Amino acid sequence: MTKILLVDDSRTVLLMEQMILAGEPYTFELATNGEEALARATANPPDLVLLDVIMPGLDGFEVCRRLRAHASTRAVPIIMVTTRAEGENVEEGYESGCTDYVAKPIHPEELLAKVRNYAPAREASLG
Amino acid sequence: MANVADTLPVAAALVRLRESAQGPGVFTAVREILSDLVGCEDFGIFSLERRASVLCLRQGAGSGLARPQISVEPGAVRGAGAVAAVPLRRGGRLCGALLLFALLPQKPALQPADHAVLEVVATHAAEALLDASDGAR
Repeated sequence: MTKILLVDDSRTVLLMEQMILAGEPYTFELATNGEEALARATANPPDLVLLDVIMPGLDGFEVCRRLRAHASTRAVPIIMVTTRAEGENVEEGYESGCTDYVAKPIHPEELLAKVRNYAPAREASLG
Repeated sequence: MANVADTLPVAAALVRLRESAQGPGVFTAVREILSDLVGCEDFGIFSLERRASVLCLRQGAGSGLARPQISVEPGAVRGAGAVAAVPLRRGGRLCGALLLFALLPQKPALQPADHAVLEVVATHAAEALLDASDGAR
């Protein structure tokens, strides 16, 4: 199945994202800071990353740059999810290599549409 | 009939508050809910001091910390710049208020689903918020 890495230091956002995407054929991995996100993504690359920007330690921009610099995650779509959705921050996000943006508070329909677009469902193998 | 998508923030808020129970983590949960589900990073949790007829700040975030006391005289809360005021009750008795002072730039106004989330906060976290120490500021 399509695997999505959800990265946010807010437990509330991680809950909300899983609720929005429940019922879709996705599996999830969770990370609550940038270091954990990098470790998980490079060890076992996901099909899509939903990445918070403002986090303690490595912020989302830096995580994005490092994922883009790593061979195994260079092509993984990254959607930044942030309360800072104004011009400069959006520019910095794209410069760091993100694929798309979603502003908080998250609109469920918008997130679902973008996730479906960047991470087409892949049914579980029947072996 | 409510859009299913509109019910998700309420469900997420309920789960988050239940996880945080009544401990000191409840303020963190409420701060996340207000920021990430409602779109407000400037708020204050006030207790009602009846003798002085004022609301006293207990906890808050952003510009919500700039108002240690607000009169409860008619019009004063609106005059303090609150965009929303949610009563906090203990055993049915009014004992405080959650005041929202500003919304995120991408959030032009509160929607009905936001008010439902605020009601969840008021119903499930009022006592814990008012009892919590000011250390959570």
